[in-house]
Amino acid sequence: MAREGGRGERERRLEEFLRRWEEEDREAREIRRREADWDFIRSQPPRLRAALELYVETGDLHLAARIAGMTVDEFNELRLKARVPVVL
Amino acid sequence: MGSAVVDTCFLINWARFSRRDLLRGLFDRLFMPEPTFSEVKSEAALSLASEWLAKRFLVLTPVLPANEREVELLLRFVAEHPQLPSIDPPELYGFILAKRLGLPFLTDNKAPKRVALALESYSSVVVLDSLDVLKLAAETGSASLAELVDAFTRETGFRFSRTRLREVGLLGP
Repeated sequence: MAREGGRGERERRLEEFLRRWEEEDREAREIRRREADWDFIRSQPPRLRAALELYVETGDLHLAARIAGMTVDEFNELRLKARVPVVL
Repeated sequence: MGSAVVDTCFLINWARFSRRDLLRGLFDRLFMPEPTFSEVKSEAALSLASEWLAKRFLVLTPVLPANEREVELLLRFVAEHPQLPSIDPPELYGFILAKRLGLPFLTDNKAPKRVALALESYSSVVVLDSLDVLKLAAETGSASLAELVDAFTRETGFRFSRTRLREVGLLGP
């Protein structure tokens, strides 16, 4: 019973974290959308444009780098040119 | 002062920051797993890494076969929770190394911090992002946190959310 209770508590805690993170991610996405240089992003070849748009939406550097066919470091250079901030 | 484990994103971001030497005042050594280092490509980051490697401030560490099981467990956890950003094996090696050595893990990827909060078996890992490290630097008296945050955001293209700025006392409740 105690183990059941412990697991229930952990699950509740995790759900609380997940809700908080969704809210944080929403705020971060709004900042990236607002500050991005959309003219630069739209001027990119389709693959890079898709990667930048994905980064604006998710903030996921690894995934965006993979879409762009670049390393994380190379994609970070592109991100800076597109003025998309990293939001923490 | 102690050591820390560092990942690629953190090194890349701090390579652009004019006050990057603050890290040398906070830590006596930074460990980076070799697969993580292979992701470093930009001139700024490679130049900084070379300087730190020469001074033995940055030390590359091999990956052990035993890491693979933990990598698999963590990847499964991340895959099951879409609220967690993706995390690649090179960065997971850093996270696992930090746990094993009992050292802080420096990363600007949100996933390790969230995993450490959500998974009890990783709750002992202290995950510090750039804002946490700037706060530590400010506490040593090198500059005010507001000045450091201002310089960091200008030079690295970072923004900190209102929630985070409130956490470190730069915004009122």
